Amino acid sequence: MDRRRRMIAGLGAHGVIALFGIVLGHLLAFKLIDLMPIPGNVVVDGWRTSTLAGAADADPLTRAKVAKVGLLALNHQETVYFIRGTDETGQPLDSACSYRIEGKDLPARWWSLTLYAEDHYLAMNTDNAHSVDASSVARSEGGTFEVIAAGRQPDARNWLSTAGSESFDITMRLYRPSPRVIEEPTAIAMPSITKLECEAS
Amino acid sequence: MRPWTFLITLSVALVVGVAVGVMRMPSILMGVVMERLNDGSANGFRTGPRADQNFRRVVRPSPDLSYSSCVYDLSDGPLRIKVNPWNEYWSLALFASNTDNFWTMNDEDYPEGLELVLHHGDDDVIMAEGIVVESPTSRGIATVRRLAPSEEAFARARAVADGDFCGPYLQTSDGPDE
Repeated sequence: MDRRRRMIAGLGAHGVIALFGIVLGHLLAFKLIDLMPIPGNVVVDGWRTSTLAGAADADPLTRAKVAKVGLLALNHQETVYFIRGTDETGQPLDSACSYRIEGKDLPARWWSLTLYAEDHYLAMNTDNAHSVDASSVARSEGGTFEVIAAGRQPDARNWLSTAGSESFDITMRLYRPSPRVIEEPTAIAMPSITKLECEAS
Repeated sequence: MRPWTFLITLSVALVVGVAVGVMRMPSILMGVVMERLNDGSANGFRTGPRADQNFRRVVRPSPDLSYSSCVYDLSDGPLRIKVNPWNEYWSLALFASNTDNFWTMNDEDYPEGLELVLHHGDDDVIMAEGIVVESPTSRGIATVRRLAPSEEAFARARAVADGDFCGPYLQTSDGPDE
């Protein structure tokens, strides 16, 4: 009888431990997904995109990461989202530094460059310089644009404010992309990101 | 029972918990966002303010777009969704509760705006004419994006969005309710 009681008590303890493990596993899953890099089955000059964002055939890991960093993303036929969080040397973008983003108009009906803080929201500042887009970006006579990402307004026509963030990344949206963006994304001339200077720590 | 069996149970449960957590994460996060977007209600469009640093409802909002959203619940029957045209890019995108973007149309497809009936498993939806879309889940989100990269454009887009409709489709034996 005692043996039977011990057995039942042991099974109960296993059940409690299993329940605890499953709940802990759920919490751990959310932390692990945070550590996972931005999903990207296509990388062009440091810009990453996933053609599976919003798609029914996305694998569970991609689906989970997209849900955390880009919920309600449109499928890539409608919009291609490129994200870049590193400079020309591969170093993470740091709000203590300023950067120059240079490029030409992208092959899409409309495009934008938007700066997001480390929490995936717009940086906590009132500079009204979260984004530049195809309709308003100032271009040179040759059609190129130069955008400065910095914590203070630079002596430049296009500015993305990094104030209120510690690290950041840039999301480039290509709405109604041309077919070649989807068919041959590596052939696109992507904007470059070059570190200019850093504040002394 | 031997102590090491508890360690095995915990290890297996952790692995299962992580795997299930990853698979359930999209639905969990969609549930959170559905609550935030429409303050717990369903079947009606809401147009949010222009995204700025204080906007915290959905990650990575674009300040260049006007977003309207209708959290839908088809458990009581189909819905009618009507989207007014806009003089710049606009789109209507439908998302299932597991985050799948299962249907999207834009101004190039429907320059005069569009109207559709959204249902889930209602095989007897009768439509004399028009677009009928089946949602893979009974709940989800319909989002309308309108390109509006300035304060002035955003105000105009918001006025247009006020005329959008997302609500019960009152079907009659003769066809749609209009």
